[in-house]
Amino acid sequence: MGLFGKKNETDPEPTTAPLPMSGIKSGTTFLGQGLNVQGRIGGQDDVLILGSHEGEIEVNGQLEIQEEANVRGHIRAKTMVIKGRVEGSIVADQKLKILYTARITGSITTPVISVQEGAEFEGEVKMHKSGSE
Amino acid sequence: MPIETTTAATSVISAKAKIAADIRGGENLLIEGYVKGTIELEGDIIVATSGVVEADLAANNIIIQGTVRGNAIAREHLEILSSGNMTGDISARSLDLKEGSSFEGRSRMIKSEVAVATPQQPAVPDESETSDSGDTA
Repeated sequence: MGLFGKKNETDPEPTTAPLPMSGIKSGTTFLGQGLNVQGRIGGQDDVLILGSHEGEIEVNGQLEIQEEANVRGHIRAKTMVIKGRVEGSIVADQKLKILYTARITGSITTPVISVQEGAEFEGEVKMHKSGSE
Repeated sequence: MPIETTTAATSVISAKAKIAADIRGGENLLIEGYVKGTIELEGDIIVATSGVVEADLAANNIIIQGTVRGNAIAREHLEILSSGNMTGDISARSLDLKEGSSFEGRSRMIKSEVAVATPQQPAVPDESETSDSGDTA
């Protein structure tokens, strides 16, 4: 998606825009950089995190943790893309992609993994083909 | 402390998401799914028609189109639209309940003598209750 990956700085939002919806794919939970969430996130939809989260995330869609994000706890999704900082246990049922900006401490369980050069990872990886644990 | 009505960034909790958490921050939040816990924002909260919120809310503006069970504090404006359903106590500086909306609870108006941008009458001693006097924490 990368909707939020690069933003034109020369694009001032109209000052009062109470109703948002611009550019956000419906069906995606989007937790912005200014948010701090403590607790559990679950559900069927995709989740995109730019802020900080502490607790548990269990989603049946794709979980994407952006560069700015800071996540601590147990996270699980069908597919996962990590670009930010994660501390905890990570379970991707189908596929896990770790990009070079990622900083990960903890354990990873997934059948398919890709790690970009430059990513930091401290912990153990368990690969299993069945997909679910 | 100047109150900016709305921040530019908006987060979304989508229709199929279920969140049990405390959410804080300086953004707007659009809730289409389910949230339980507390939400405290320096921004606005919009509960969409599909949204179900079992949480105490605090925000600048709160717009309810869905279902809310909990107490809500709007530092500015609180609005329950015709599809909205609110059970709980409300504190707000201004309030708008549309025809068809449902509201069960107590309501208290926040009166701020800290005249923000529109200095109408500086701190008129009012006989009606001003217990918390609109603190903008």
